[in-house]
Amino acid sequence: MDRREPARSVTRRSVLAAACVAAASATLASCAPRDAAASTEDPSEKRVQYGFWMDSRNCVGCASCVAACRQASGTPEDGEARRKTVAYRFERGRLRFVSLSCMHCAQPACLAACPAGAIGKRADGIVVVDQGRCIGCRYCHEACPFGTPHYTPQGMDKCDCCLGAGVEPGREPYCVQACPADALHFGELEEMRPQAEAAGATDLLEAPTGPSFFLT
Amino acid sequence: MIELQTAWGWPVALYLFLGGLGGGMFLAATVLGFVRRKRHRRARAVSFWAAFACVAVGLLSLLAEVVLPCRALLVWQSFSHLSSWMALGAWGALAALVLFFATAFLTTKKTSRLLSIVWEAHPGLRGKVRTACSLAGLAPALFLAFYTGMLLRAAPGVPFWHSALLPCLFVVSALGAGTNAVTALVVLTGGARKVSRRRRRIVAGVVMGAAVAEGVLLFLFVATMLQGGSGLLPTQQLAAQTSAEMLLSGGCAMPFWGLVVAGGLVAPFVLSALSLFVRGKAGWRILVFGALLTLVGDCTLRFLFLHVGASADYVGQALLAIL
Repeated sequence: MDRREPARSVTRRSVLAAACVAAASATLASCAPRDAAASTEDPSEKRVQYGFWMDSRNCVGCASCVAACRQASGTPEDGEARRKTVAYRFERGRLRFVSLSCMHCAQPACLAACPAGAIGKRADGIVVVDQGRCIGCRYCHEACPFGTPHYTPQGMDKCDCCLGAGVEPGREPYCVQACPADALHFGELEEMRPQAEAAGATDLLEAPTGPSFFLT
Repeated sequence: MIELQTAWGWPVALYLFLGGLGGGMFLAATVLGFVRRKRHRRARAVSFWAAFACVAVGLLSLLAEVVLPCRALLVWQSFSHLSSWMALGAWGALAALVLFFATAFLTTKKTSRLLSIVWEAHPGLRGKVRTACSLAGLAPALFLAFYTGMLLRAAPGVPFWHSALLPCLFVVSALGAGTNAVTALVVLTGGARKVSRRRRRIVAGVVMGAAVAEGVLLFLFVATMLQGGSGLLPTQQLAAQTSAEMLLSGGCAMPFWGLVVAGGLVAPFVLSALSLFVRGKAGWRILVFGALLTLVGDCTLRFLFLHVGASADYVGQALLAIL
């Protein structure tokens, strides 16, 4: 009696086909869009807006805030810091220093401009960037009225109120803690408003995106 | 302190130019195909391939500018935020690439022969598919010309770009550049030999009309910016004025007046007018030279607009008010 060999159920062709299907499936799975960082809000969180108050009358331009920011965020000395101090000279020899970083705007232009949805605004008003999504197209820099976003090899980098450095939301970031002249303040905008207005602020800094920033 | 933007360099300017030029060329070549169905086939094929190459090279140029190009290639993820004009533009450019390629492939005899088995089995199918692709490609072509202006306009950080006139100017510029490029290709591929003098006059009229339209829009745009643009705040108006003054009388005055205005608008207009009175090949050569000059002017326009973009100083304005 002839014994026929059993028909092979696994052939070279079927293995190759299965490998192609598996590779395609893995590729498609990795390509599934993740939830956009633009929706980082937790609906249960109370909506507040944290921001900064810069009292330029007291600032001496020592840049302690910049040094503290570099240390907290791990920014190297040769890299662009998340915070900067700018000197403004006016007539009659008047000089004012201002410490600036992300304004955590009410309507962040960077968030709207980002094609990858890498920028989000939290319920506490802090604007954050997901470097895992950022492609570094620099459109957020062009959109920002203050030119705040800057770029590292990992993508866009900017102030996050020291959330990445372990500071709890609402607590003072390291730059504010380091200020020796009581020039830089941080907190909920409406809580800071009476003090800022007493110091001479009429309203938040005027700009198209609604910066969360008092300047006196 | 008003500062010039430095985040976007020449690769982005090149992308803005090539994207618009590619869209304009595709549009012009498609219209030529409907107007002169059986003529200028070679010129149309070359135009479609050139349009595809423009968009491809432009996208590569843009890719070279981003910090993380490999991640940018994951288009479905990196351009998923469709409220961003950059995301919309990426998808529009991809659609343009596919449709421009398909149209070029089907218009070129040598490449379309690769599918001769299909065409022989279905007579008439190739023409229908080619027509469908060229018609479908019109939308992304027009979108490319429009979006290159909207990309700048939608960036509130630069008051000089924040005007509805900018996308209008870029659309007219792109359509004019595309028409001029296709005209040049018609002549260079020998398609102009059998074109009557009357039709040459029509082409010259189109070149002159495009130069006038672009010139008017450019004048309106710069005049608007000299008045402060659309900004409500003094610092925005100052930034827009500073940018306009750089173009007209500052560091960018020479390329602006020399290459954009004189070379890109006035010279093509004059040469096109001159070609009306010159017979034969010489007339065509004059027309083509003028048409090619517009490409130089349009490219320079994008480079200069990007270069003179300046940010407003809201903090400085506030300090002035305080003091």
